[in-house]
Amino acid sequence: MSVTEVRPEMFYRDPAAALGWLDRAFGLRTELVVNDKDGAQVFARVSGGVAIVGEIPGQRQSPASSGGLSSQQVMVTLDGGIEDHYAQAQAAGAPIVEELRTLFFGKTYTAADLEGHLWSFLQDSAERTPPPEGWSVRFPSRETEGPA
Amino acid sequence: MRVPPISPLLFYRDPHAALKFLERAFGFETRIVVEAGDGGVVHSESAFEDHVVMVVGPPSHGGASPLDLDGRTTGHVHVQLQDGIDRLCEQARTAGALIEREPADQPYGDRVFVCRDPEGHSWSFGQEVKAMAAGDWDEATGTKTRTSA
Repeated sequence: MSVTEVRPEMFYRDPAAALGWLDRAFGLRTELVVNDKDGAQVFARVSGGVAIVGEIPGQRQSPASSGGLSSQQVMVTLDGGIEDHYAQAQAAGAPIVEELRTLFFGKTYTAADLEGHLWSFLQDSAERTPPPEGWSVRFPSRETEGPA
Repeated sequence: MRVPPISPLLFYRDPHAALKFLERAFGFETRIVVEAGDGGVVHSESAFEDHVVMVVGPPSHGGASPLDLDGRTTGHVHVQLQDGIDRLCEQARTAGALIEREPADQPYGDRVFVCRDPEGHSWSFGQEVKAMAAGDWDEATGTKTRTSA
């Protein structure tokens, strides 16, 4: 078995409006849009392969229909320019959920989009802080198996 | 071993059980687990080859398990396979996944099954059975597809 793609799909009340907003605020370009014969947007894909789809009330709901809560968020790894990315998101009115800061795994911030979905952006950084007191980091797949 | 540019992050009440489930059900491998002092998982990577799903919990900061949302989700994860979809469906079922749609060929050329994990997150798995371009699936399903380079 081989995996070619793992794709987050996010549910929106207004998936058509989301495309322009995600482009302006987060620089996520629209790659593909599928409309049904009545013109409703049934599927779209933006940079990195994230799918933007309409909600089905009662089953698959936007955070805007779920009391602002999200069961899933998107983690985006940037090659560089996270300060500019943060400034652009802020200028577009994205609520900043976690401010831009350097943690032990890199520079990161989290913002909400127009319907409350959470997006975290991460950039590798030479400057790192140690993990907070009491935190532990394990690499289970590297742990040796069998008798020592 | 690199992290791809985009990964889904899922919130679980019991992230340790979720990581074990993803290993048993889908054959993912837990590569890294970062725990806060209270036992909560603040970061993890459950990986298959170069693809990663992040499991975090118990939820905070606007996150929620589907168990906290009356079983609803605000997102979904799709995994595209090269082969082995029927076998993976049986493996997932045996591990306790709730199969919502059995593997079936779709009009757009993929074979797909859909399931829920024990906390109610929604997963779909697809495998191409017939190569189709956008024009082909538009003809088959009545949709209209636009792509931008």
